[in-house]
Amino acid sequence: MKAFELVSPRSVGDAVALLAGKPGAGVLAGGTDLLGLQKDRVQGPSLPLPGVLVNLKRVPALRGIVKEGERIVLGALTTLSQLADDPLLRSRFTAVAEAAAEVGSPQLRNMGTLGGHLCQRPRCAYFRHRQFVCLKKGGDRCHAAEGEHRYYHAIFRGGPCHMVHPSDLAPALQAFDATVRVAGPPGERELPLARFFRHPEEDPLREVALDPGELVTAVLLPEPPPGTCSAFTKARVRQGWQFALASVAVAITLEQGECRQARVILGGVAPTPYRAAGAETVLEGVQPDERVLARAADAAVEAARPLRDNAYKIDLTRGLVRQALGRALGVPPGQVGLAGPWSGDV
Amino acid sequence: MSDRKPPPEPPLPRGPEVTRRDLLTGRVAGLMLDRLQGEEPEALPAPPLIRLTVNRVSRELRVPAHRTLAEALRVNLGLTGTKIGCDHGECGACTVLLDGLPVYSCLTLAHDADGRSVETIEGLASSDALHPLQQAFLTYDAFQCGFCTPGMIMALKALLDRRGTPDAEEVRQAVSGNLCRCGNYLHVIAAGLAAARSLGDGG
Amino acid sequence: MPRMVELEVDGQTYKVEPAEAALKEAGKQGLEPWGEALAVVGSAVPRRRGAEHVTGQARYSSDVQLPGMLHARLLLSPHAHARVRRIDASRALALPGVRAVLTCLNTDAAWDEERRLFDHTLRYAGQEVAAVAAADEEAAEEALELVDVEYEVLPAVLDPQAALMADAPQVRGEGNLYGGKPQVYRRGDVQRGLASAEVVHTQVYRTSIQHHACLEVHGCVASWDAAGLTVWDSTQGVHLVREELASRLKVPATKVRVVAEQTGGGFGSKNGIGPYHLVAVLLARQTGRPVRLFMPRAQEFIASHHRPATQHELTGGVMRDGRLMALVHRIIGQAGAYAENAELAAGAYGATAELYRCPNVLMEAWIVHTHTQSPGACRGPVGTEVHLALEQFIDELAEQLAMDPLAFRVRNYVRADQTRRRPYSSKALDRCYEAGARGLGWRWPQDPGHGRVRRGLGMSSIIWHGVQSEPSQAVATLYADGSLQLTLGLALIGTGSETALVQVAAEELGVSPDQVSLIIGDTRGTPYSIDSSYGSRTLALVGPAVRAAAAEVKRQLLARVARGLGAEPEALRLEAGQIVVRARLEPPMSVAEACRQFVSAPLMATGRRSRNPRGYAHESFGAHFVEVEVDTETGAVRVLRAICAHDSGRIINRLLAESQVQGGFVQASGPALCEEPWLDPATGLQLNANLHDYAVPTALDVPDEVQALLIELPDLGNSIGAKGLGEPPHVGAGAAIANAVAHALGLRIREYPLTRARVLEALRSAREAPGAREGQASHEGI
Repeated sequence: MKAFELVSPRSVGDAVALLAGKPGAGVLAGGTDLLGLQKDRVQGPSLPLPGVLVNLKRVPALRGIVKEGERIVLGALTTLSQLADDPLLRSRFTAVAEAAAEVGSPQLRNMGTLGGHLCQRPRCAYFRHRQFVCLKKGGDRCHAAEGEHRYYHAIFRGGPCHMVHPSDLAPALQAFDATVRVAGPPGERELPLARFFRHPEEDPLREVALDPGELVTAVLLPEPPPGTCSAFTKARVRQGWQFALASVAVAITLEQGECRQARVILGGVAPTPYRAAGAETVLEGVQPDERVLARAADAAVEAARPLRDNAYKIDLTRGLVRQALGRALGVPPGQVGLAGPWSGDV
Repeated sequence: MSDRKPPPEPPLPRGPEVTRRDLLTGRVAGLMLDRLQGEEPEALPAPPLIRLTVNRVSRELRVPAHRTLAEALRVNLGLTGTKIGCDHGECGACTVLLDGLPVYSCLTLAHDADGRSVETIEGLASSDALHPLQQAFLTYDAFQCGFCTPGMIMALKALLDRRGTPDAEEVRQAVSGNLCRCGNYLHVIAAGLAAARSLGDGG
Repeated sequence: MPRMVELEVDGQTYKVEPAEAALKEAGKQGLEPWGEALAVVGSAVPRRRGAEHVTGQARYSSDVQLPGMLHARLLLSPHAHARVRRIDASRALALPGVRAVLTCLNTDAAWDEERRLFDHTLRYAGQEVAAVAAADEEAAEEALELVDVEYEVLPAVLDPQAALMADAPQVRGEGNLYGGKPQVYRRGDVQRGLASAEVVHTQVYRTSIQHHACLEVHGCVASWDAAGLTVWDSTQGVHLVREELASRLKVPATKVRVVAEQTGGGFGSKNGIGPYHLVAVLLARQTGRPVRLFMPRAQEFIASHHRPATQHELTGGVMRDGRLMALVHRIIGQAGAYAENAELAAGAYGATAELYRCPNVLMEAWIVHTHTQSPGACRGPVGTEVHLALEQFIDELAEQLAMDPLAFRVRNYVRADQTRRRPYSSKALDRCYEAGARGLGWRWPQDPGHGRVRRGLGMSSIIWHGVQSEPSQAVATLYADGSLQLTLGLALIGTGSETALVQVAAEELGVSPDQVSLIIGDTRGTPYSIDSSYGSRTLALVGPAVRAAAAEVKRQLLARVARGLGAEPEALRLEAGQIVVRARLEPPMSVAEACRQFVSAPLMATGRRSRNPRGYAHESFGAHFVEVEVDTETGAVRVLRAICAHDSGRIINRLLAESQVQGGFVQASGPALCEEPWLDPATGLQLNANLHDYAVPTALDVPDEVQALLIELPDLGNSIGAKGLGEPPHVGAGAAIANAVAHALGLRIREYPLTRARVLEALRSAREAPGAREGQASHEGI
C-alpha cells in the first residue's frame, strides 16, 4: 500500500481544519473502500493518490443514532451493522435497515460507515484498473461505453461516464426523503440526499457534492407519514457479498388501502440513485393490486437506455421493483419471485 | 489423534534470546528480525507507538501508519494464524475480532487497533482444551486446505459469543464473508451448529 | 509373461490378467486382497494434522519468515503483444531498501525452449517484464512504479476464431493452429453412422474461463546456503518442484530442497514451477538473501493460469429407440501464446469417446494460439469442459426422441472401454444412476410449474481417467514402542489423502491410526511417492505403496515374534489388531505389545506400488442429480439439492470423501452459475482480477444439501481397491446444473456461466421470438 500520513482529529472542527489545511487529503472512516484504492493505487491526472489520511474514527460526535426534533439523525460514523440492527430503523424505516443488511459481508458491515458508504467510489472496473485512464481519473473517455459493461454500468442517464453509484443505502434513504448534513470550513449545511449525488455530466471527477474541506457528518430522516411501509431488494452476480447489479428501495404510504405517496428509487442502474417517477405516478392515488404493481414495474424502466450488453438489467430491475413493492405491501411471499434466496424476500 | 499438537500457549512478548529453531520456524517477531539484521531501521523515523491487547495480552508496537493490522499481527507479532488471501477484504481469511466484532484485518490499519482488543485464532484454545468450535471443525471436517479456517472460526466465534443458539441460516450468514475455495461450506455450517450445541450444553 | 485369462463383457471377449496375480507381486510376500470387514479403512478418521489448522499453527509457505529475507514483486506486461523498446531500472534501484532489479537487459535466463524469463517480446498481458527485491513489501511495490518501460505495442489477436483467419496476427510465427492440424480421435465411420440414424441433431456450446482462485496465492521463499537451494513453496508436489528447479538451474537434484508443510489450495495450478519460482531463486542467488515472492491477488490470476474458454460443436445421430449411432465433437480451445500447456486447451479424448456405447465417433480438438496467457490444469482439465458440452447434448438428444434423459443414458450404457478395447477394472455407473435417481426423486416428464419461480431436475454422467501403472514409494518405520512412522514424498494440499494413507497403514499393520505419524511435505528425507498430487491419483497411486510398506514391516515383526516364541512364522497371523499363534495357547498379543517384547531397533521398510493387472482400463465414474429453482423475473438460479453418486472404488475415509464430493460440486457450481473473468475486449486485460468481482461461490450460494452417495465397489486395479475422487465431483456438476436449468425454463442456454444476465436475455429472446405464444405478459415469465 502506498505510504501515507495518518492524522486522527478528535472533533469535527479539528477534522475540517485538518482537511482544509491539507488539500488532497483523503477522509478515512471505515476504510473498506479507501484502503483498497490506496492499495491499488487508483490514480490519474485529475486523481492524485492521497498522501495524508484524516482519520475520523476518533471523533465520537460522529457516531450513533439519535432523535433530533422530528428527525432521526444517523451519525456518519455509524456502522452498517448498527444501522441494520437498529430496532427503530427496522420497524419504521425498514428499507433502510434492509439495505444496510445487504451491503457487503458481515465483516464489511462491522467496518463500513454510513458516511463512507455514501462517499464510496464507483465499482467500474475501468476506473479501478490502473491501465485505464478514464474520465473519472482525468482521461478523455469512458472505456466502458464500448468495453465490458454488463454489470456495474448504467441503463439510465449514462454518459459521458457510464458508472453506476454503488450504494445500497442511498436509494433506501432517498425513499425516505433523507437529508445530508455536511461540515466544512464555512460551517454546517444540509442538502437533500437527492442533490448530494452528482451526475458525471456535471462533474465526472466526483460523485458527491462535497466542496474541498467538507465531510459528511450525518444523514437525517424525517418521520415518515403514518401508514408508510417500505422494502429493499437487491440482485447480485452471486447470492451475497457483492455490489448491486440493480437494487430497488420503495416506500409506500397507504391511507385506507389507497396509495397516498410512493417513492421508488433504483440503485445500481444509473450514475446516481434513480428516482422512478413514472412508477410513483402509477401507484399514487390507486389501491395497489398485482396489476398495479406490474404496471408500476413497467413504468419504472420505461426510460431505460441500455448499453450494448446490459439490456437484461431492464428486465431485472422491472422484476425487482415488482418484488420490492410486493414485499413492502405484504403480498404473501409465495406470490413474489426470488430476488436472492437469502435476501429475506422469499 | 496422536499427532495433534497441544493448544498454543498465549503469545507472550519474547525475550531477546533467539534460538536457531526460532529462526528456522520463522516464529520470530519481525521487529526482532530487523534488529538482528540491522535492516536500516536508523534510516526511518520511529513510527508512533501503539498499544493493543492481543488475545488478552497487552502488546506494544511501532509500525508505520499504513501498516495493516493483518501485517502487524503476522510480521510484527509473528501470529501467522491470521491469513492474508486477497489483502482487499474480499476473501475473509484475515478475519479477527476487534472489540469482539469480526473485521477484515487486511483493511484495518494497525493504528486503528490502538487501545483496542484483538482476538486471533491463536487465542482461542485454552491451555488444556480446544474451543468447541475448533473441536467441531475437526469432527465435521469443516475444511480441506485449511487456509480459510482461522477466519471462518473467528467469524463463527463472534456469532456464538453474541447468540448462544443460532439456527443454520444465522450460521450461514455469519460465514458469508469468508470464502472457502475448497467448497466445504456445508461442513462449516454443521460444525458451527454443533459447536453452538456443545456450548449450550456447557461443554 | 503374466498368465492371462479370458473375460467376457457385453458379448465381447477380452484377455486380462487376474487381479490376484498382480497382488502377488506386491511386497516381498505379496498381498492378499482385503476382505469385507476392515477395522480402520472406511471409517471417518478425523483429518490428520487438523488440529494445526484450527489453532492457527498450520504453517504454509507464505507464513515463512527468515532472517534477512527480502520481498520481491513482479512487473507484468500490460499489453497483449508488445516489444520492450527501452527499459530503465535505475530509479527503482536507487530507492532505499531495493536490492536488485531483474529485467531483460540484465537477465538472460531461459524459461523454456520458446522464451526467456524476461523476454523482449511479450505475447500476453501478464507476461513477466521485470522483478524487484527489496527490504520490505512496500519498498518492492514502490520500486515497481519506478521501473520505466517503453513498449512498442504490436497487433494482437485475442479470440481463437479470429486467430484462425488467414490475415490474423501470427502468435508464434508458424500459423495459429497448434501443431498445424486438429488433434483427432476416430472410431468407425461417422458419415455412415449419421446416414443410418433416424434423428440427427447439432448444437454449439461455449464454456468460460475458470480460475482456480486458491486462497493461498502462488509463491515461494527461496534461500541459498552452502548446502544448496531451499525453496518453501505453495505447491501440490515437492518432488516435481525439485526436479524442475534442478533441471532449469542445472544443479543436482540433491542440492535442491523443497518444503511445503501446508498448501492453501491448488486445484491443478500448483504442479511444478512457474516463472516466479525462477525469479525468486535468481534474486536470492544474486542478493545472497532469502527472497519471498508471493503474488498480489491481482497477479494470482496470471500465475495460476486457468481453465480455458472452449467452444463445442456436437452432432449426434440416434435411432428412435434411443440407440446412439454417431457422435461428432469439434472443440476449439484457446492455447495462449506459447506451446507450454497447449494440450490443456482441448483434447480429442475422454467422455465423448468413452461414456456411451456408440460405434461411430469423431472428435477433433482445434487448439488455437492467441495473445493470451496459456491455460493450465484446473480440476478436471479438458474433461470438465467436455462434460459440460457432451452431457447437455446427450440431454438434448433425449429431448429429440422425447425420451427420459436418464433412460437414454441407460439405453446406451457400455461395460467396456471402447477406445482401448478393454474391460474396466471396475464400473458401477449403473449403480450411481440408480442411487442418484432414487436419492433425488428423479421423475420424467418434469413439471417446472407455471409461476414466476420454476423448478427443474437435471443429471449428468461422469467419467474420469484412473491411475495407470506408475511407480510410487513409501517408507514405514515401526518403533519399539509400537508407533509407526510413515514417510511420504507428498504435499498436504487439503484433499485428505495423507489421512487415508495413515488408515491404509494402520489397517495393514493392525494398529490404531493414532499410532501412526507422518513425515511429509519436504523433499528432504522422503521417498519419491509421487511427482505431484494431480489427476486424482494420489491415493490410488501411493496407497498401494503404503500398504506394501506396512505389510513388509508387519512381516518383519511377525518374524521376530515367531523367533521369540520359537514358532514357525507361518503359524502367526495378525487378526483384528492382535497377533495370534496358530495351535498355541499364548494369549493374543497387540502389535504394541509385540514391539515392546521383541523389537529393539526400529523395523523399517520401503513399500513399492506394484503394477496394475494387465488388460484393464481404469476409470472413476459418477452421476450427479440436482434440483434447481429459477426466478424467471430476476434470472436468479439457485441449486436446491444435489445428490452426487460416485463410483470411486473403495472409500478409505467416508468423512473426507464427503468433503471432496461436496467441495467439488460447490467449486464447479461457480463457473456454472456466476464465475467468469471480465475481459476488456480491446486489450484482453482482465478487469475483475479480484475475489469480489470474480464471483466464486460463498456460503450463501451453496444448496442446503449436497449429498455424497459413495457406491463402493473395490477396484481390481490396485491393492487398496481405491479409485480417484478429487476431480470427478467437479467434472459432472456443471452439466447437471445446466440440464436442470434447461428443464426448469423449457429452453436451453448454451453459454456459461448461467448468470442472471444470460437467463434474462434468453427469456427475452424466447418471448420476442416469432411464434412466441401471445397473451403471456412480460411479468408472467415466458
